[in-house]
Amino acid sequence: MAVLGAGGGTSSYEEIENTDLVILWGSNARNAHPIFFHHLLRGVSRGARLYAVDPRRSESAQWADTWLGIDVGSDIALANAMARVIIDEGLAHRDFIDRATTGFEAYAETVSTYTLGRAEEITGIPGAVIAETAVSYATASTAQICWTLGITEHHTATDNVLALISLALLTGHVGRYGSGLVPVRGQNNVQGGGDMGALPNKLPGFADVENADDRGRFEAVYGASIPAKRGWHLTQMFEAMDAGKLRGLYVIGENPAQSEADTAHARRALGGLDFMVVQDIFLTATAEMADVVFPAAADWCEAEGTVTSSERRVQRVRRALAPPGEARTDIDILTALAAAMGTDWGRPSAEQLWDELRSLSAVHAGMSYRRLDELGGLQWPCPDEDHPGSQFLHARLWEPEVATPAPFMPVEWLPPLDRLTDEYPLRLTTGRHLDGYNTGVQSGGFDSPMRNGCTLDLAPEDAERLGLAPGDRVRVVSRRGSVEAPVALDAGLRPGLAFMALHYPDDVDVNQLTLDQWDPKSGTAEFKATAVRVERLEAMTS
Amino acid sequence: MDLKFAGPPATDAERAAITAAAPPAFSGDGRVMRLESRDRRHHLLPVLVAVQSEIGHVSAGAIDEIGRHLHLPPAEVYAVASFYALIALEERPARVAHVCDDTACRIRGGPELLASLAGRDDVRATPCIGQCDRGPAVYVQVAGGEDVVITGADRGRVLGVLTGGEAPEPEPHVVGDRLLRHVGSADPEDIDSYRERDGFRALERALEMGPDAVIAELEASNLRGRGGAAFPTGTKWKAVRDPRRPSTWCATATNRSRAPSRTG
Repeated sequence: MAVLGAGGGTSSYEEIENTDLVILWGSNARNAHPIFFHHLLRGVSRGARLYAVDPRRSESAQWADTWLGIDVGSDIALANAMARVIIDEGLAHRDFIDRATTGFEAYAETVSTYTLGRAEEITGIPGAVIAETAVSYATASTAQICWTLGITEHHTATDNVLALISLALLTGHVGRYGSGLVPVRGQNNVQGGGDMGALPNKLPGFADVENADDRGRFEAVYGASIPAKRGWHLTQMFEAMDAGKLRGLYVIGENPAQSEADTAHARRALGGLDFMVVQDIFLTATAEMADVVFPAAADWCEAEGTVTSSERRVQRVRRALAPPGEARTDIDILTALAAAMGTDWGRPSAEQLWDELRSLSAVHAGMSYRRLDELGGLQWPCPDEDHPGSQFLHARLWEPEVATPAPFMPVEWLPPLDRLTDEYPLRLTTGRHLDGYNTGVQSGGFDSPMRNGCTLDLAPEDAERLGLAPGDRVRVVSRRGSVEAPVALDAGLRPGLAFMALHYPDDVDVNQLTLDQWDPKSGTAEFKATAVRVERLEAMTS
Repeated sequence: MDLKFAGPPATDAERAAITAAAPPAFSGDGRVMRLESRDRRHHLLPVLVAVQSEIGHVSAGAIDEIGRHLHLPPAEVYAVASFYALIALEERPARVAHVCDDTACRIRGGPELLASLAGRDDVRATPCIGQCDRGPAVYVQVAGGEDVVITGADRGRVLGVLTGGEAPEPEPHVVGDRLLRHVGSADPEDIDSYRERDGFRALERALEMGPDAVIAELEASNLRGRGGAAFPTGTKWKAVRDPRRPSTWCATATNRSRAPSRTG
């Protein structure tokens, strides 16, 4: 956002079906974004070249023309080394850089220290492969970089993203059809949540809480004053809980007792609150700790509204069922709560609330329910009711005069924080299965023939070295806690790298192990890089 | 590659035959893997033939292994394998004789030869194997070795090969019959050799007669296509006689056991 001015993927799904080259960077989209992955595969079947950057040879990486099995957390080194090659080979898009960007010199200076030799040492990838990937990306007619939690679940999350954006600016692979930067959003409507201002520093439509003019516009419509200072993000809230500064919590559709890194710490913090309300469709582990639970309707079938996808497309959601029992829609619950607090909002419909939002958010202004129904959805920005929506972003960067050029933001590589030592020699990374969803709240309630439960996945060489066979139960220990799980073998893991899925916290609470050190700029914890050791328990057959 | 294989594992010999017949999809190591070829479908028949030839049949384990190696669903591998009589899906004897009882061999004792070998699990009937002038013809599959063609076959020769004997010398091509009178005499690769033996005389005659007379002759003969529809050839030729249609046509090669019914 700081670079390009908008917080969303730049390119539509249609474009990935027609692009020349895709780098899937820190994303196992086949498991975690199957809809998006279908679009990607269509592109591949039409001849798009696919590069996968992932420490594991994941289910998605197996589809790639080239898989780069980098060391966990070495993405900036790879990106900067690629940039250096592109610059040295004269493949940087000079015209685009001159017209549409600022700060190139400082960026070139920073990446110049990332020689192929240095990058090979940090990433584990042969220099020739790094160079070939760089040249392919730079010379592709159109190219996209798609990323998700493999990039953002690190203490250098924001810097990781900036490194990728810089590659696109360096090569002109943004702001035109088929080329772009796509953060694939992990949850239906997580894009929409942010767009609607469910962020501590944002008002709906990317307005800034700390900007007086923006605040003023909203205050005029809402008829109430908005704090002039940004709030805490999730990890800051936990710090505030630890410090006794945050005493009460209202949790809506989130399960921090199981989804936070270092779960033990998270539970202690939640347990220390004076008062907690949880609003959710299931009685989650967090809800069980609450003082009051509001049973909520399931938004995708029991309520009216809209959702926004990774390609910035807003689509209508229509109620098909009445909520069961005492469950009520989020709008109902919030309005009732406001009334109990002395403010009567009446009984606004979803459409009325949406129309109010449209009057305040320029990028959504043209998206009336009527148009969304007729057209099957619209991609923001959509500033008025004649506007067809925006297929891709940042076309302004290709105009002859670029009013707001995009800045290069040079970044340096830093290693993961949970260091590997003799006591904790194995690098554990966490991720997702196709049929599981995050902490398993929504996916754990039904049987699946594909589900084998939580295992500690080891490289066959490591299992042999440790004398472990599939099914053997082991204790996995990190600096924060331990869990027990059976062993499984995964040939997609190299020696020294282990994997666990996070979908089964009631069975194996993987987040007991993970490090909750977080990126100071984004607040995301370093879920992807934990140092562990493995201790044998007893064999399955004994 | 997102395929599920539920069958038994392949044997080492099966795996060796498969990997010898088609290059691996990927090259690389634990850090970098490159996909050498995304489209591997064209390897399927050669790999099936290789496994059949090496092992003597294509097992369920081999089907799955071929699917793994070529990134094809096992159902697709099975569909192609099951189409061919020469690809066995269950275990067979190491040597199997396929005795032709198609049209040309039928009139030269093919069915009688089959009857004389009745009850053996290593003998079966087969459609035409392309030895029409030298029937009855027998194709013997040899697992792990070279397949054998026996022409002018009799029970003794077939049993001899089935029990491990050498292939007998092939019969000389038949000379003197009406349709096959040039076989063994004209050099099939030398057009002049053919012309010296009145080759293309019929074509010259047809050109003399002219198109209408040729078509009338075809209609009078009641010649029909053998593609299954038994379509009257004269009617077909008449249809393309229409002067409004283009005057140049391409005649495609015909299948072995069909009359030339596809030319226009």
